[in-house]
Amino acid sequence: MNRATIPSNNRSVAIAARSISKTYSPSSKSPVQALQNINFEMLGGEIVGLIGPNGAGKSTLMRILLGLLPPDGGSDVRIFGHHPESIESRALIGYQADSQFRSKTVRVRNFLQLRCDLAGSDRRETIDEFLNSFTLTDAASRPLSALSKGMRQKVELIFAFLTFPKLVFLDEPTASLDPPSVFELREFLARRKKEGISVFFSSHNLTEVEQVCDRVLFINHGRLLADHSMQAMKLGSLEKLFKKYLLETGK
Amino acid sequence: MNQRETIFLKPLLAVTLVCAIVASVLEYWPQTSSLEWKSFDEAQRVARALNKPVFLDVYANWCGPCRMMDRTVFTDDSVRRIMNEKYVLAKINIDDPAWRERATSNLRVNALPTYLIFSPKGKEWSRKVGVDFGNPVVSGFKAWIADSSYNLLRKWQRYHEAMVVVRSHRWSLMVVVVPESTDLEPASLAFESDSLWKFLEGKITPTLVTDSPADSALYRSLPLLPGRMPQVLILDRNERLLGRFYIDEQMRSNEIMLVDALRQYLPKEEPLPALGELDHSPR
Amino acid sequence: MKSPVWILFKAEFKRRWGLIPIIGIFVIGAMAAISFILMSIIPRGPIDIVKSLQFLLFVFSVPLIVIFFGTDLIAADIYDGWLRSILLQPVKRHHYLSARLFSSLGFTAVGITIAVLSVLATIPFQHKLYAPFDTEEFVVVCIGALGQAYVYLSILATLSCWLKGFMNVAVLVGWWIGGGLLYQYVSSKYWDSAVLTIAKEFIFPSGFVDAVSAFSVDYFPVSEFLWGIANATGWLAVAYWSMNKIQIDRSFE
Repeated sequence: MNRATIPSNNRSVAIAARSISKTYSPSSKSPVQALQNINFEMLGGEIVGLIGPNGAGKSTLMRILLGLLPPDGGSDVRIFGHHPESIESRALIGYQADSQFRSKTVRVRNFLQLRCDLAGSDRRETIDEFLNSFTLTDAASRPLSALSKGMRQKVELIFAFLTFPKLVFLDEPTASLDPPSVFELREFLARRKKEGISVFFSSHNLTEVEQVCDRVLFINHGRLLADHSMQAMKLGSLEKLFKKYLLETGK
Repeated sequence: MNQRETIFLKPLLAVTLVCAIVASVLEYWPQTSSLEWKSFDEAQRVARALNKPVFLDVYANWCGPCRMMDRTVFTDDSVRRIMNEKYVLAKINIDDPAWRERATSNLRVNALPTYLIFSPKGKEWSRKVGVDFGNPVVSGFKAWIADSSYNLLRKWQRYHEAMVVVRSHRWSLMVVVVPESTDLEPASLAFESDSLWKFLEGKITPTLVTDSPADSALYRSLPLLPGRMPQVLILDRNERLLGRFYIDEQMRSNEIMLVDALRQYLPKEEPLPALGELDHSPR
Repeated sequence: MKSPVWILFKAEFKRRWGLIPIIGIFVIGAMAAISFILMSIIPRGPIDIVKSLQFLLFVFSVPLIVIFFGTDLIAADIYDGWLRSILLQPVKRHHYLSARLFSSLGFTAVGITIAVLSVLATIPFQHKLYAPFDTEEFVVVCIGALGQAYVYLSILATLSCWLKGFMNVAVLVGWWIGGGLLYQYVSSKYWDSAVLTIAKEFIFPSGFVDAVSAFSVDYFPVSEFLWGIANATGWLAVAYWSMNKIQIDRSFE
């Protein structure tokens, strides 16, 4: 298991995670240890994939990195050197959520414009460009609640990248996308990588991870079992590695 | 800079605390008022002895308008003077378990504040519910308490209607004569007593005559005593004078004196006419 | 750069203003007008328009409007992910709370205005005797109604940080009823105590209601208004504290 030293105040380090643990219901009779002592770092400009079976702790880790869930005491997370719940880190990140907005009055364009306004960027052309690249121009004036799951996921993706944040978190980005949309996404990510945007995403799709990521983190039972660079790996070898780790960890 | 920022919490709590403390202090700062409020029972005893009416304030601690009246109207000097001079003052707190039942059922109080005025003998003669005294409240309230008087006499029948009753029942007519310029209250107080009317029942019918333009001819035709007012004239059914007297200070507070004065002028019990005797009494 | 509160405030208006709120406001306004007409049928001397408005607003229109705009005020945004999307931007939690509360207050102000105008609009059509219209008292009634509405909204926002759905309204209504019963019990036991008048403010916050009922031309109820301000700032502080404490991402629950 690779374990690099973590200079947590270094701003070229996109994510610095040290001793991350999370226990649910710690004072109950059967507390659940969701994460145990996770350590890794991600440098700026990287695309890192997080893989693991269901219940491995991927969502929990993602939420802790986003500052949506507090880790146990003794854990430390830094996003470009800032606390994940700070305004500074919020200004640097994007997140593709899976939201079920109920309001029938929030339209796609207004939703995206809100993101630009809050980030202080005046980029109306960018909204149109992004909508165009995902063939959503016609849906711009439709309410979010009226979109299909796949279209909503694309809108959330645009929402995440719209203000060109330095680090974007994606949670199962291709889950509801049809194959043409998956290709669009791959090209999109490749363009963003050239622009120097870091991406941290969790996925079940190993092919996706192989083709897009620079590194892959493997997690199971709340523990980080592997941190592999994809450069050294051949195509198709990730699946074998995945099965190997599953066997080792008894699933 | 954390997203969870609490820098406004302390100033907000400070403002809350300051406002709450200042509000509490203002509510309980001693109000200068020389009004002496008694309990209602004690006030009625004192009122009977002094022959003064009772002013009763029914209130509650939670009644906002009551507090407003305490702070504006009852602190006004001219209001205080009238209240102290003219009335015996009483207060009832509606939440007092000893008074709640009496206030709501006997006194029929159903909203706060309720202000009641009672005659010295305990008859309710005026009532105001709420603080609807017009604008400004002080002068409206002052006008009410200053002008309020017991006017039992105005409820009596008019002279000619009373005479019809007298003729049909063969009773006497008691004419209470009071000029318009004189306060009717003393005369009203004099005739308030229930026991007085028990004595007079079946013997006499009362009426009031004043020197108003409507009554001026009648007033001038009456055989009045010279000088002081009010006066009482007792007339028979033929409008003949049976007797007359002044209503003096003593009679106003002592109903026995009034009864004695009336008794001597009332006709004695007439013996039944013998069979065959005609009624020769002039019409 | 514009203030995040202003940006979110405008977004709230776009998000919440639509056909249903407009219909709701006009229905509540019509109900106030009809109630005023019914109240005016019983002839009891000249009708005091301002006193009638005071009764209608505080007992009727303001509670209805506040329930309409305050139900599920925060919890709805937590459970559908909107709050997460907002707070993953460079926005502080109190920015969102302020925008949400003040936009609700804005809608409430519109609702109160429509209710008042609906009542006043019936006057030319009813041939009744009316008492002189006191403009000063009218202004105090309207400001007091808005102040009390703000207190209710702050309480509903606080409760909605911790309770889902319409539970925030249910708790407030239950508290109002329970508070009234508790007060009756306390006042019959401690009727003579000065403490009762202060304790009253903590049983149910009604500073602005008391201020409006005690107001007259000769008297400005300073202490009652101060209690109203204390209610408003106190509950804003509690809402603010709650907003900073809660878990905003409930998508995994």
